[in-house]
Amino acid sequence: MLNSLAFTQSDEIWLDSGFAGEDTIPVLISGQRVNDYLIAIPRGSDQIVIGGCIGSIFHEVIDSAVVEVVIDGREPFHVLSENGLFNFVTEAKGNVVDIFISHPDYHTLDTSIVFPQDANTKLRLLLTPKYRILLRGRVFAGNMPLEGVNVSISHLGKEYATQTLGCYYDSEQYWNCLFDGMFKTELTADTPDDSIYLKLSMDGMQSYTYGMKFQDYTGEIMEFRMKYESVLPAPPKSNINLKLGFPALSLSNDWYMGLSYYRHVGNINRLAYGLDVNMYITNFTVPVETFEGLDPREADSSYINAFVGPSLLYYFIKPDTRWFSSYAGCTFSMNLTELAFVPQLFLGSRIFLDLNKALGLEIRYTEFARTVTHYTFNPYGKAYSSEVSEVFTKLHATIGIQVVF
Amino acid sequence: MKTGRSYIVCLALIWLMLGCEEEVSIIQNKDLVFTHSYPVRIPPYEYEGENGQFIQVRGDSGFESNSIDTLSGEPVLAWEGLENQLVSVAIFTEAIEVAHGEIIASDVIWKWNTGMAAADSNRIAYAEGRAVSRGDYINEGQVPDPLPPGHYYWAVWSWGKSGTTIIYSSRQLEFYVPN
Repeated sequence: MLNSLAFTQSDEIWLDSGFAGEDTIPVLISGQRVNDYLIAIPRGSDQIVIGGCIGSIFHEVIDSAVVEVVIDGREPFHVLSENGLFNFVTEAKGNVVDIFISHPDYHTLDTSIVFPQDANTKLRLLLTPKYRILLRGRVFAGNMPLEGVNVSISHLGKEYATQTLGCYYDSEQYWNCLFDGMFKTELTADTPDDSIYLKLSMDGMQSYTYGMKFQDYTGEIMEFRMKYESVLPAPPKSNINLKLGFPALSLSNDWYMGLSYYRHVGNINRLAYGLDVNMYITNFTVPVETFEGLDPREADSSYINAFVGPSLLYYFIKPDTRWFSSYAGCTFSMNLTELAFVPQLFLGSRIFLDLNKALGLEIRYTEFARTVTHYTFNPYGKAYSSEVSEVFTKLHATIGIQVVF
Repeated sequence: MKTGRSYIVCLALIWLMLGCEEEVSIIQNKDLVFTHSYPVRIPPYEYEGENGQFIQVRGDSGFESNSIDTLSGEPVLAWEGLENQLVSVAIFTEAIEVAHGEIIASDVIWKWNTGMAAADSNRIAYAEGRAVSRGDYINEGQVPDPLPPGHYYWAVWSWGKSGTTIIYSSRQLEFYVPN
């Protein structure tokens, strides 16, 4: 008689009749169910069934494990575990059964048993899982999640490629940005000392490489911050620029607002033409002499001067430079208030905030004439007013937001 | 899409900033000399006349009760507020008329303004002002002659900071100078 316990080679295999260890070991699949499974297997009168369940040392059922069986050194045959159960039917004669179980997520189990004499021989095979992680990360440019970054993960010569996700309309038609800039990949290693290397790449961004060991991964979403290249991935074709100027940025205490559109001239990337619309809101102060012996008072009036006209500019630092691509130009504008031609000279620069939005800084010089109201004090009521033509000289720094496309 | 929204918000803010410019919006008050101005309150007060007797001035309450004060030939004119303002006070021989935001000055016979010296800029003695004829000062440097007996009108008004628009004015007050 074979002593069934003698067949156990380690903690990884339990050979029993009735799963003697069930009282002390958590059960993957109940012994009754395995019994029922094996009894139901059709076999000839001179055949026996060897089978059982395959699980992990963490008591997970392992599906699709390949069980290779060699009886007395003869030709091997294979069966697959289904829902953690496997079996094979063989002639009721032999000496040794070699069992070799493999699964990509588990360490291979290689074991042998003495050929059993029972019609139903139940085995419980426990595999040790390999080290497995779900590597998750989020890629940022500054504080903005970055969509469409190519993520390449190298491990033991294998390369896994993925991309960061963007926002999307979810099943309830909500614009969902929960996974914006995120990627995930499941990785398996034999030992936690295995190294993995991540390479992040995207047009217009500096490549980013990061190396780590499996055991260093805590399971949290890793954050990666990519830096922009010093030049844009492609030279810009057009831009729209909204510019604002505040009294503190002006020589004459003005507010300024401007909107411009520029398009680069064919292959001459440094030259651009476009349309510029802008206006100054000017506070103009005139002295008002009042009663004899008193200091003059000051009367403030606000004037809006609007200009529109074609514009030409030249980038003396290339327009695809991210930092301080600078330009000089001239707007051949019409003063809409006085209907007069007024050239406006400007000097500007821009700093890209991302791949298509830039912060613009510009200094604009404009000189124009317009009529303003002067006052003469009236000791019996409202002051008398008169219109006088004055020359306004404006040198205004502006801050703008520019969209490049 | 986000950029488009940013532009709209920026434009809306600019529009709001432009729209927030201060405007003088004064409720019309037909009792005042300048109907589109804030009222200058003239409280009841008394002053010591040339003969040492105290003379009562009803101020705004006289206007409300339709009573006319009897004052001396050298009255004291007083009001509340208007500190550090550009102020003018005048005595008229006829009811005060305002046309196109301006007093018709032909009936003014006496005037004082903040450019002139005064012991108290809210309480002006007749001697601190100057005689006026056809809107212009006369007998400069001289104390004006006392008012002859008759029916007179007076009012006080004040300009805004720029000196271009009347912001405050009193009611038109009447008084008699007896024989």
